[in-house]
Amino acid sequence: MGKQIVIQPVTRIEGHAKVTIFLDDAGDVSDTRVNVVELRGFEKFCIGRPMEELPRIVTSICGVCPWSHHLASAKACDAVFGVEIPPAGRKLRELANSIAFTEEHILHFYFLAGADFIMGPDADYSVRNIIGIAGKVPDIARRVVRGRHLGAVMLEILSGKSIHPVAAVPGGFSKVLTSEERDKMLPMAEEVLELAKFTIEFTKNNVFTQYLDTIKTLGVIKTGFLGTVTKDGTLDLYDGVLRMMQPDGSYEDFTYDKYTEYIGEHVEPWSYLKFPYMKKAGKLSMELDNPVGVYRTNTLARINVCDKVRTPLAQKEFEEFRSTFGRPLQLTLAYHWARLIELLYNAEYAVKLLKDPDLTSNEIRVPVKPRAARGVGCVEAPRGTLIHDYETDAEGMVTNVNLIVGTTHNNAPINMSVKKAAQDNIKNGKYDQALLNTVEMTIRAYDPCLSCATHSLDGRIAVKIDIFDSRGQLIGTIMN
Amino acid sequence: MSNFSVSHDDCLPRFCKSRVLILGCGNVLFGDDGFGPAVIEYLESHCAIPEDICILDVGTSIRDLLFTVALSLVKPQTILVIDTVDTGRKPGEIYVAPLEDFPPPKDSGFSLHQLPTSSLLGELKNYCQIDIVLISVQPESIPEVVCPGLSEKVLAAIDPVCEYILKACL
Repeated sequence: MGKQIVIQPVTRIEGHAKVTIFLDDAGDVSDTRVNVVELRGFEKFCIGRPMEELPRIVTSICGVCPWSHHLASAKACDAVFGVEIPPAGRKLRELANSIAFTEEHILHFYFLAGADFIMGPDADYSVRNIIGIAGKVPDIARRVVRGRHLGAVMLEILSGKSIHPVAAVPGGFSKVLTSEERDKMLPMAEEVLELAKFTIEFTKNNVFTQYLDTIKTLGVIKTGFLGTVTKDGTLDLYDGVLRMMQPDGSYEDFTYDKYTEYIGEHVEPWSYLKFPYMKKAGKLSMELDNPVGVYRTNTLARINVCDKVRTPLAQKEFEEFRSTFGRPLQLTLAYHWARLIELLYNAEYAVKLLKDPDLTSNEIRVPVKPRAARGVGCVEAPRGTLIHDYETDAEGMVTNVNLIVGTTHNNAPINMSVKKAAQDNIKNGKYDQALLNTVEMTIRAYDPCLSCATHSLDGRIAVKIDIFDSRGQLIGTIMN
Repeated sequence: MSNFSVSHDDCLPRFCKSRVLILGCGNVLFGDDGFGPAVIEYLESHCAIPEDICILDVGTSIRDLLFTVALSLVKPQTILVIDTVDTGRKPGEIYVAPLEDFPPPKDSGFSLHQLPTSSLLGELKNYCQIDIVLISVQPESIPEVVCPGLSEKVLAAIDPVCEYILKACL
């Protein structure tokens, strides 16, 4: 038995993860395991409740992406009730989704991943914190605060509440947007768009080019991808069909309600969190040399599976990205680049929706009647495809609930990427502080949300490596 | 008044510009973990809150807000965090102390409840000279699976905590 290295928790990602690295007798990496927390018992809690309560309850699952759960739940309710919501109701939901996306992507890029790039991955850990970023780039920090705040204000105007949204209801949206409110929001959305444009331009010129070698090597694995597109292949974060792409770029589209035919759930004894995989592959193997059934979700997956983007500036960035890297792109750190294309898309799309005359219509909701049925609601959450699957009895009471959240889809690839990063950084039992940073950077690229059952965010003493000898005795500890 | 109202001058969130920021955090789905939000709900419905104090039920979203505070040039003088923390006391017992008096975050990534965003609060205290005060209650139980509702002993702590907050801030 070789050495065991434990890294826990991973800094700055939302929630906690524990990374364990196993070394063989030669001191090389034999295996790695990334454990993440999981919300337990939620499905059972929902059973027996009136289904219309669920869109309100699910926002408590996750303080990081409440809007995604809120909208996926409302869509699942629509499907159970068998209703088509009015165009204005759909557009109001889409607008909320786009604004929430811009807030989240700005947060991730500048606050969570930003320290790696703005301060540099080798920077002293004591300055790789949020105050460090603010001190180094105060003007950017100011714009980021303002941009995110504008997002929060817009969500509050749109829905009445930005932290625990309640506006999406089965059958549509509950709050009409007045033309005065729309006029107030438009300049805010335009300002957020300016921040998005600045962000991608700044990052392409100052960050991605500088770290291209790192991007091309760190945690690179070969997998399939899953994301949502419209029937003509356009990127869509609110509605469409799911597209499962194989590592060779071939793909198949399917409707949400068929997800159990395409996605299987593998269980490992060392993890509470399940490992979804491509069911048609027959099994899941996370072997780096010969992975089977592994797919990824989240930004890079969505940009890989789509054929085009519906807004002009993001389409231009998308074309540049694809002509530079090809399809499908497997570079893990390219998630950040794809995230910024999505940021730009959402900022543009919010402006476009706010100029749509339908948006201020009073027709935002249709009545619903309970019935015994199953309904699947799916949206793209910032961290990946989010599936809510409900069943009800004739009185509309919930009889079954199944959720697959974005981070869960990425469980297998996160484990694989960490193994790859660890293998590249540990040879003959030798490693240094850079190992911590690279493993962390790899995980952060996926923007995993691990906070469904916690509300902690750790920082400065967050990375700890315990080294055990072959007899299981602790022989050394390294901490940030 | 909305806590996110856009100011005419600089568009800073109200929670950055308040003299005192009071945050109730916790997951209402997990038993006594819902104490922080319950305190905020009580304050909102029973007390007149002065203009320079901002109270917010941040649920599980506290990190969003603290990041914004950390990056903002204008910050509160004091942040009060109301939370459920296991400090080894009797269930329902209230413990008020500065940040450094609380135990450091546990190493395990599996605890349902840990000191909220303690490192970020530490940064705000150490780099930005904000007074950080944690008002905690000892939980009777934080279930491992979803199970909302406060225990009687923790429920009884809401009144005295609200009294303490009003006295400390006014």
